[in-house]
Amino acid sequence: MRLRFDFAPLQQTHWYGHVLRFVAGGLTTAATGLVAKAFGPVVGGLFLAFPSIFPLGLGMLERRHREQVGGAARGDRARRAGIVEAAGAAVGSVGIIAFALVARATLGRAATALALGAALAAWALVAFATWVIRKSARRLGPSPPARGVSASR
Amino acid sequence: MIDALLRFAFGGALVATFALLGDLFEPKSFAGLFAAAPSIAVATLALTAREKGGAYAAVEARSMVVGGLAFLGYATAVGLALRRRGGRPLAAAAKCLALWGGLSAAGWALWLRAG
Repeated sequence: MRLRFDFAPLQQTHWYGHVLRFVAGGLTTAATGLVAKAFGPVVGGLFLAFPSIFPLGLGMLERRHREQVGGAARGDRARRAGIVEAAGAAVGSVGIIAFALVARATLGRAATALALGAALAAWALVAFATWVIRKSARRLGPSPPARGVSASR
Repeated sequence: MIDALLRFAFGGALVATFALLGDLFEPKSFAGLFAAAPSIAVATLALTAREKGGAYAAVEARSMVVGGLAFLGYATAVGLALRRRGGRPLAAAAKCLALWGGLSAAGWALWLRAG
């Protein structure tokens, strides 16, 4: 469960991967503003949690695994990495809900920078706590059956 | 037009920064948290509050709670689809986007529409 920095993926990601994420993020932010203008803040607000970057991240991850591993194993390796990424995003989305609740409670009552700073802190805290709880629960869960022993026994 | 360009630049920069942070972390299950970072929300709410006031931005944040719940359902569905059906991660993520839309619409109809 030890967290660490790994700079290797930075070298593996092509420069256009970063540009693509910048463009996708920029387009989604601009589109969210247009939706809010056209349909009001209630509908526009829904798109603040639109999953625009997550599919893009999965696509980049898939490509990276395809380049690293050849043959029949590559699909399965990308799939397993995708499952891990999706689990992380599900945990992160609990943090997004915390962000939204704090932003809703503080925007208009405190300075915008302070309100958004508190909301970001809530996202980081809740997402990290959920990740730790999930990891601990998986550790304490039932261990897989020994090799050669049928699970139904 | 200038407002849209400002949103594009600010949102793009924040999204790229959070994604870069996600790339750096190990294990990858932790890095996945950054795939659901509120980068678009920070950019949008900051610019909206500056333009229309905090109370207006708070209404958007209220709707974001529903969008966030829909994201939770969406990410869980993508994980389940990959686990049970296999296939390519990007294809699974693209197919499940309709679920995010459906859950958001349901949340709007059941909770947000009433005010």
